[in-house]
Amino acid sequence: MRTSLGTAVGVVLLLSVAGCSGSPDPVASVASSPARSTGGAGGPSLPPDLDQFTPAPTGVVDEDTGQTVGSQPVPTWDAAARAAAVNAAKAALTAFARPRLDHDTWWAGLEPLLTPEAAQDYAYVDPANVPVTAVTGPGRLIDSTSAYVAHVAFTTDAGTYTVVVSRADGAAPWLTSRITPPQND
Amino acid sequence: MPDRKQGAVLAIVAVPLVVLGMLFSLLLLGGSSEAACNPTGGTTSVTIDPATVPDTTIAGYRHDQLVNAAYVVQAGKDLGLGVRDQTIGVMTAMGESSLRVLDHGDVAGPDSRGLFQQRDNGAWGSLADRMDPYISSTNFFKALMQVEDREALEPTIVAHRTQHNADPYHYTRFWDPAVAVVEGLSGIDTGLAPGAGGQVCSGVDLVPGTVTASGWAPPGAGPITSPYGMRVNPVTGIYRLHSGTDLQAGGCNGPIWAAQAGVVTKRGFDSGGNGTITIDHGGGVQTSYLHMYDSGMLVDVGDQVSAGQQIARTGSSGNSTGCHLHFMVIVNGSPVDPVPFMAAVGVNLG
Repeated sequence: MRTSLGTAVGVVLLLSVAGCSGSPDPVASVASSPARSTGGAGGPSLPPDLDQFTPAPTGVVDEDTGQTVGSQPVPTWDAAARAAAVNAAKAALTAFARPRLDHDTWWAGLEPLLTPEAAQDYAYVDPANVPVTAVTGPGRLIDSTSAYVAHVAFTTDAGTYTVVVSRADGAAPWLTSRITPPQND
Repeated sequence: MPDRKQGAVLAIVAVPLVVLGMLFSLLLLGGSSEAACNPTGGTTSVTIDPATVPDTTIAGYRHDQLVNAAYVVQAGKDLGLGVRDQTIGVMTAMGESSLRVLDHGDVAGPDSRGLFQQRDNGAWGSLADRMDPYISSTNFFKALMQVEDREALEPTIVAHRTQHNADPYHYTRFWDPAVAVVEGLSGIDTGLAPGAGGQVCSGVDLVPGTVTASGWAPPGAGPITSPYGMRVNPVTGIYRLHSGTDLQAGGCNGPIWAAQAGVVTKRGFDSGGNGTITIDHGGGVQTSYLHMYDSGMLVDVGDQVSAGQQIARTGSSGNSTGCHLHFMVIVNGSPVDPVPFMAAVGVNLG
């Protein structure tokens, strides 16, 4: 039988709890007792005036990421962005929907259209198991809550697929993170 | 690009509520196993005798389906596999055949047969083998055992890398019924958490955060270990912007909470190897959370999250010398000091 959690609870080991700098207390503290989340009801409640917060000076380098602050344009939704999101999603689904190709040829077409995280997972798909072979309708943008992410639905010869695309900033390409088949069962 | 092994260095065993914030951690030298965050580990099997499965229904699965689940569990036990793998087997058969020994395939695979819809490609034995619940389960598990570092992969990804099906995330929703069936038939509390079909750590419950009256939540527990601002990097000696507030956030594997409702726009590693989640709250406001390991990032791009929802576990990936949370508030594309921002919405960081 497995070791019960109750046995494990008796001993508390904390190893390697060094902070990025300073000398943190080895025993973690919690500001207040946990409470149930509200589930996001009511939507965002922003502070009244965003101008009261001083932006980081443009051109300085972020120590953690190495990126230059202010170099990435903030994205917005406009006709061109919507078209680009739908086109990117369609390109990825079209590249995915080629079950007759050998894996390497199939993957060479699909991988550049995916986020690095999605590529880790879709690399193991055997295209012979892909049921969709044709995108039969135009893409419909079904969720554009954030200007960084779009959910796009397509009718295909294997039902309605939903593709999730995202972009890092206003100048970055749209990349696909999910190609989700119809949920039948 | 960092791989999934990064999440394996430190693994959580338990977060008992009575000592909330004290984390029982194990340093796994060599770092190739996530077994410690899966409380039953990879070694202990459960036993279910197909001959004595009661005439009952569990999670919508009837007696004949439960008997097939018992064959899956038995085949896993006979190969010496642990309950997480056994449950992955049941989950996979649910996702392939609803635990029925199907004598037909589907559009993509008309030659697919049996519990696991194994194809007639030579990899899965004869037709009789593929139609036998015990033998087909055994062949499934033999393939599963070849999946590298499977303890450090999500159950649905383990199943996918065994089956090579079209949707890597297909099996996620079958995890909860699979846990219910395995526990219901064995009578054992496996410690495998519901909702973890798409998470590496199957045995750790999520902890909701504290939501203020304004609808915002602290992203992690204090104290603050390094403030926002221009500073000399303690590692490199270079004068740069420290673009966020560092919080101890419970130390390794401590909970990280969404500061506000929003849409996940990034989940992954940047060019510096920093595990990063970014949430767009609308109105030009984003928050970012850095340094998690792959296994500690619990949400995906496109997910809608709520304020105080646990989205991650504290880690030390990228530009970091120890587990902590680098919390950023980004207004119209530029970082701002998170402390006054969060104070303005009723949250005192640290």
